[in-house]
Amino acid sequence: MRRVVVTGVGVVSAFGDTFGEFWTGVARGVSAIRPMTLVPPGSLRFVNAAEAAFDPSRHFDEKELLYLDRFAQFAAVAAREALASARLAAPLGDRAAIVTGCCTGGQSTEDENFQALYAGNQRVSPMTIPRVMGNAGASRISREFGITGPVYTISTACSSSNHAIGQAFWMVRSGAVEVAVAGGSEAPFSLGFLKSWEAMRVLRRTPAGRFPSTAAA
Amino acid sequence: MPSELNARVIAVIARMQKIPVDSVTLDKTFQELNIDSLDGINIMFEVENEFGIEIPMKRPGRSAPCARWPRESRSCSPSSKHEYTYRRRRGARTRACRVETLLDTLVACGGGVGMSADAARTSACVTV
Repeated sequence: MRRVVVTGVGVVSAFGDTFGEFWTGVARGVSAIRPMTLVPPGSLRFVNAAEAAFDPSRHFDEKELLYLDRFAQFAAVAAREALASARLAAPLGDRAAIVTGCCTGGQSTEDENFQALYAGNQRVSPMTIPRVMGNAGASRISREFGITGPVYTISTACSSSNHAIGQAFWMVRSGAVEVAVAGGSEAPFSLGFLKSWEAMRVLRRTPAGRFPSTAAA
Repeated sequence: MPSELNARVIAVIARMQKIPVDSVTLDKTFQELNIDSLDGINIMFEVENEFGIEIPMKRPGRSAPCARWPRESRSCSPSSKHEYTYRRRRGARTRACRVETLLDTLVACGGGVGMSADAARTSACVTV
């Protein structure tokens, strides 16, 4: 069996769009949890979350953004950083794999399009499926880096990314591929989705002056 | 071909591709305009919105001019993109969709070019 090493890392988080910003925040023990901006104020019992202050126009042109939900944008930007730090350049071909973890897919896109449909608009954008599908991040990475080996997405709730990394590990270890891009992304901060979490009573009302525990996106 | 129709279709293509209007001309192929399968679907959707029509994917037993563009665009569609890649690897020539083909389709449909509602209903396209 071959040994497997991590050669590059990329992170998009509430601390910023790079691994450096993420690691600095974690190492200093500071919090990135703050008032949410992606849902209307007052629509939920809680107000704070680890929301990424992500500006897509810094990373993608206008046309690219037509096809990418926020969660897929995160995946692509993190993969760029990881591959750059690993000094791997496109095209990586069929000896490279991508395994991403994603449970909820493009929630914002789904919310926007279905809301319009239920409000009487009979036409739904043809980009709804490419933006919503859970493997959109993996698909984008494969196109950008010319990866034509195994490309797929694992959906196992909150364990999705860990399972993705585990799958990629075994593919490299067994010799099925030389290199793999692995990780996960979610962007579940749409009103419908957060309302659903709220209904499960797993999100806590924000106590005055304290931070609640919520998922990062 | 009505110049207003040309201008409106070209404007849609330029808007969806995020490219200057004057870079889109009738003789350009989709490939030259960097229009891939998803772009093609998006453009068709926006053209339908622009003219208030619905371009059918297929009309069994009828080879209406309106079916030309969707059929040709399938050479760039998600399912056949792989085929396109495959064929290209083997050196085969692939048909290239042209902007004027889309315009021909619209003229056949009557959408937005002064055709009455009754006439449009009997054409290959469906008014919406």
